[in-house]
Amino acid sequence: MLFNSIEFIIFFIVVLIIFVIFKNRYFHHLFLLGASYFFFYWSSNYLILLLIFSTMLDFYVGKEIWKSKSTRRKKFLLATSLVGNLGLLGFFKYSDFAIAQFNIMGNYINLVDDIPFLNLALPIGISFYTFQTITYTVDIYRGQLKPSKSFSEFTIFVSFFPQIVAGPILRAKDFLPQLNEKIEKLKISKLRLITIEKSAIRIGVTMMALGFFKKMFFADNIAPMVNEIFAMPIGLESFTIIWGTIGFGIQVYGDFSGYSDIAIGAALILGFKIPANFNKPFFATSPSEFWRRWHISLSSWVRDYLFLPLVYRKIGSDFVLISGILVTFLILGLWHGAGWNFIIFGLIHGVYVAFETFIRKRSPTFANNIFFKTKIGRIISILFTQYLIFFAWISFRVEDTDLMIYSMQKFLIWDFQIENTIGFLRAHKFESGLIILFIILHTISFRLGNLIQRISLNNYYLFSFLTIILLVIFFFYDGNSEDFIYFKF
Amino acid sequence: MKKLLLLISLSFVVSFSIFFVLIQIFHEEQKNALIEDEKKYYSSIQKIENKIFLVGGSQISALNPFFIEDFLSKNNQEFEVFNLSKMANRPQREIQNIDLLISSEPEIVVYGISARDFSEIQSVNSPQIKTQQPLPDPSILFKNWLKNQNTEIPILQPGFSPKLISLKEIRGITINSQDYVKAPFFRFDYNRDFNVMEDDELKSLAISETKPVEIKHPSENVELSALKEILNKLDKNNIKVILFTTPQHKYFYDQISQSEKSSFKKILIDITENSHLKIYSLTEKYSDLEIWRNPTHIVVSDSASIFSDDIANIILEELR
Repeated sequence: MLFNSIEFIIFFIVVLIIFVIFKNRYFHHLFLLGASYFFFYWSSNYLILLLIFSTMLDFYVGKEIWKSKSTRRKKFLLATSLVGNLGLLGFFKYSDFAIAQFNIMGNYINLVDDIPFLNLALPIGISFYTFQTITYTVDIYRGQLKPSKSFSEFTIFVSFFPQIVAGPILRAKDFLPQLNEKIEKLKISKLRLITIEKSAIRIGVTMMALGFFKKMFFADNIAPMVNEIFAMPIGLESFTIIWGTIGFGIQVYGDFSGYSDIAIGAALILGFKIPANFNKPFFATSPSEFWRRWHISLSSWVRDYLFLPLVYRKIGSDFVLISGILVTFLILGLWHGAGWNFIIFGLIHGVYVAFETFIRKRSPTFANNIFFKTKIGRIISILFTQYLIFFAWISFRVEDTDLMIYSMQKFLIWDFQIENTIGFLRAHKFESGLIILFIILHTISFRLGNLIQRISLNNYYLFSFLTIILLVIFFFYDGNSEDFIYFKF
Repeated sequence: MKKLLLLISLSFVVSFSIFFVLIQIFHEEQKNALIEDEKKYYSSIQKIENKIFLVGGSQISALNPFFIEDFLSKNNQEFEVFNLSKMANRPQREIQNIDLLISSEPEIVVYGISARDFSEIQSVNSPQIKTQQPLPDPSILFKNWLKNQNTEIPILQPGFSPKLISLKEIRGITINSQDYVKAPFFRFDYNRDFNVMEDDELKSLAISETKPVEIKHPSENVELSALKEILNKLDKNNIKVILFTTPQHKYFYDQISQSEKSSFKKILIDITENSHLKIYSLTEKYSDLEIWRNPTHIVVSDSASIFSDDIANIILEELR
């Protein structure tokens, strides 16, 4: 069920109405669970079995880890959970990629027959919910989390419908406590009654509207121009490639941060706080800051559950630190998809962050130079960082190696030809206008600070904002809703 | 809380009302503009004698009117040929312009049909997974329910896209292809339509994009009823009709289910029984030639002249 479809709007309104009418905390929790499973089943059909498997595995493994006194047994149980979850993810997402690489190697050593591809359908949301369940068992293993008391609570955590398909990736220690409330007088903890608060509706509706706007107005309308450029970039001028790359960066941001806004807004209306996933990434002043602003739930996940365990024993060693960063980003790239272009995407970012870390460590005087704190210094840092970030987007967008190399060359080594670029811009005035409009709105939003709160707290602002945004959404509603890019991951 | 809900509802009502009024206006304007353009075009060719019209959906766009004219001329048949195909032009759409077409008094109408002209309209974005669902699919139930809500209001009809109307309004309506004067209603995509697709790409596209469709029985197939009415009107106006099934690449044809093939066969039998027309089958004729721009469309290029030559041959055969 796509967020930008009539089905979801009807579904969400029905869910809200039922929560308001039937005020029973046990019913609320069961209903939330049922609604989440219905939402997931709508898009996944029989592949919901994988979600059930992952949920059951981690619930019982988590419990056993907590009960176990022996470190060896704890390690064994943790390994079981990791193998189960990552095995599932690897099999469905990467088996054909692995077979393709094996067949290529087989051709080098003259193996006669190729292994046939499995052509498996990629289960929706698998990259997200497997990472989510891994956090649960790892946190219990580390002693940072108590196992969930009931299976239904844990199941709600894994399948919570606003975010199951494409995140943000939740952590059990942040989410599970939200299912309960402490009753101080009785000194007990009970299931929380899901109440729909006025302030939550204000912010939630504003966020959802903004998310729809980013997705349906910017991302979906810029996409055709980007597709046209990168379907066959050979022969295109540098500035056309750069324009296409800027367009793609905005498209991915509009698409994914739009999805996250809808997810966070929907969860908030239901009374659940989901951490922010984006924080104006196009104003990052360095590659590492970009990853603290872009897909925050994933980047903090790989930091806490991959990078730190890799380097924590020898954090002082440059070699360990740099190789740890490179490995982490390589896996982060591969998480996005089974293809060499995603590995290259991860490695490019790995090199950026590794280089930045090395400079900060070896030349702190340069890194902390007062110039970078000045306005002009910050602007230069932002532009330079974004040039690097957008360069990396090429590998994310273009699968074919030859086309990718051509596009990257043109992006880095300008040919200063503008004749065809002007013609292209003339033919794509609307899309180009959207890119410029996005940059203006994004800059205004960055300068104003917390725009969503400003809008949602004032009735006049809220009414005007919703009317305009809804109008745009209606006019740009497509009978056949466009998929969100991150659904593929 | 009540005030807040009222505010949200009011913003919804205001924006929806504005949208509802404007989209109807834009929709009507665009429909009229298209009809006006078509009227102008038909009246501009009204005086030309011995006209042949090539009619149908996008699969007809690869037919080159000049090739057909030359071919016929070499066989002492002097005709002027016009390719009047349109994107996604199913019989229900064609019937809206049939009087206009008849008023232009062509001698012959060559009509290309395919199985999917008679199918239920499918979403282009249905995930591939939908093709192999072993458990009941609620999304299909919902779509069918929505589809069965018979309504006259355009925005509530299946396949209605406000986005398409908005984009047309922003970009302007450009239906005429200056470079291809005898195919005035088809919008060619210069990046896609004129280039042959690689075999690997054809294969993967056919596998990933071919979704199962439902073709209703002839007795309840609305597209078939529309086609019969078109044929009837043309017959009453003494316009000769030549029917043929449009070509498909083997990769696409192999993906189509047996039930779809047999449903289409029933449709063809029904047409033949009712109109007594011979239907020429080109479905598998070029299925492995390197002349495809995608698995269902032949490339718009001189290299694919075999398609135009065959149609010219069919016309010649019918004229004898």
